[in-house]
Amino acid sequence: MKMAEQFNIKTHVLVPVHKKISNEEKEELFKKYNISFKQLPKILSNDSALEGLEVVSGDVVQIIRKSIDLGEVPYYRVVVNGKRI
Amino acid sequence: MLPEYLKIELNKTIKSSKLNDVQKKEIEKRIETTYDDSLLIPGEAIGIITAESFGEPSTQMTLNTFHFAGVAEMNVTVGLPRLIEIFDARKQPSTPKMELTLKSKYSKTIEQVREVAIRIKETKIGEVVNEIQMNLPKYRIELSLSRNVLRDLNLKTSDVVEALKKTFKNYEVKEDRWTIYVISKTKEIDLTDIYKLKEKVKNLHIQGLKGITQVLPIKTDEGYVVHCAGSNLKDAIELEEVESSTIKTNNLFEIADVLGIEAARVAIIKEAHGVISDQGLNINIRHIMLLADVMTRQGSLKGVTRTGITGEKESVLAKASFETPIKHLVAASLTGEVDELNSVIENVILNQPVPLGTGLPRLVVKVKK
Repeated sequence: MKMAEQFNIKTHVLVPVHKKISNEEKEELFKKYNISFKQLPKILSNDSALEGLEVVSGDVVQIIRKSIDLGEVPYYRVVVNGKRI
Repeated sequence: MLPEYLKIELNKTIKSSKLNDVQKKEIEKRIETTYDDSLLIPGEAIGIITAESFGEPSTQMTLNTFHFAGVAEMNVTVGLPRLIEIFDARKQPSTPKMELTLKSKYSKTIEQVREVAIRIKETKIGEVVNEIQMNLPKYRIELSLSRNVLRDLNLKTSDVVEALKKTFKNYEVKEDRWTIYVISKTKEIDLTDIYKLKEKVKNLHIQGLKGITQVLPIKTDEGYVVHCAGSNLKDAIELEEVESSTIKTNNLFEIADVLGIEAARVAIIKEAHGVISDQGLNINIRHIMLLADVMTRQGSLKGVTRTGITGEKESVLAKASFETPIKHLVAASLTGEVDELNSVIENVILNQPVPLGTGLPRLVVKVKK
């Protein structure tokens, strides 16, 4: 069976936009919500959606979710190392 | 304070209406109050509200499975069993299912669609042979191919031979019209070996995606959609004929693996909401979103089980109060674990105020030196 060129999973309808944020933005975020790394949800460094973002453990990724009634909503996850599944 | 998006929407609506300035101001004020009133306050016990909101309607779900329209053997788990499956984050759904939308280029005629569908379905050697004979004196097995089945599946004898050659490198593969011989190179082979070889050959994959047991093309407004029993997202996404960006599957672990954890979250919400609304019930989607957020919090999928999100809890008492208490208590006492009593359930057990609502704030005293 013919195989298509490597499919870019970022174009799949289920995958929202992932963006790495800078250190300044990171500090701003922690200050705004008065939180630390530990309180953020996690994302694994080998997550498929992070391909090409060059993130390392400790970075924070901004995810633009599509909300049902608020348009686009930013969500944040901290990158951690770990096994998938 | 209204969020940006709502502000823009509100301004649009107000502009298009015939209201005077005083009325506009009043509307804006009232909407803002309503919005502020509907926000959650810190310390609200949203988890238990979610649990209640799921609990009551789910008692009214039917336990029946829904039969796929027109096809006898293709049925899908729905209702409460499916809901439990989603929230327990089972590795394999009991009825895996995939929906592939075909590109318009490959779905011009019904024949073309059927041909693509056949190539998606998994075919094993056992399906294309009339019989497999074991011939011990000649150290070989003989496959007599079924001409009709091969023609229906658009396969040639050479396809089968090639697949055999690829897998059985220690054996000689010969073809003679509609018969294929797989011959052992060594003479030291007994009946058990040859029987094992026969079973291996029978299950050898020659065409299609692994795990797809049935295919059913259905015409919709957007073109042809191939419904598959069985799921294999990793391979399906690479198919040339399929619109890769809209593939649907009900195997959440595959989605988490191939498309990432955020995609899995969206999929959980869609699946759960689909199951609930199919039953004619109505649970606010925000409850499902909360549950999906908790399930994906650790970066990988975690079910609402003692090994999943409950197992991630720090408190020993909280873990023990969910399932298998003795196991947890014994393990904790063996390793000398400490319970900080920071959460709800452990404080309920100890008859203390719980950190919820007005119990949440604590006194912070700065002691002067």
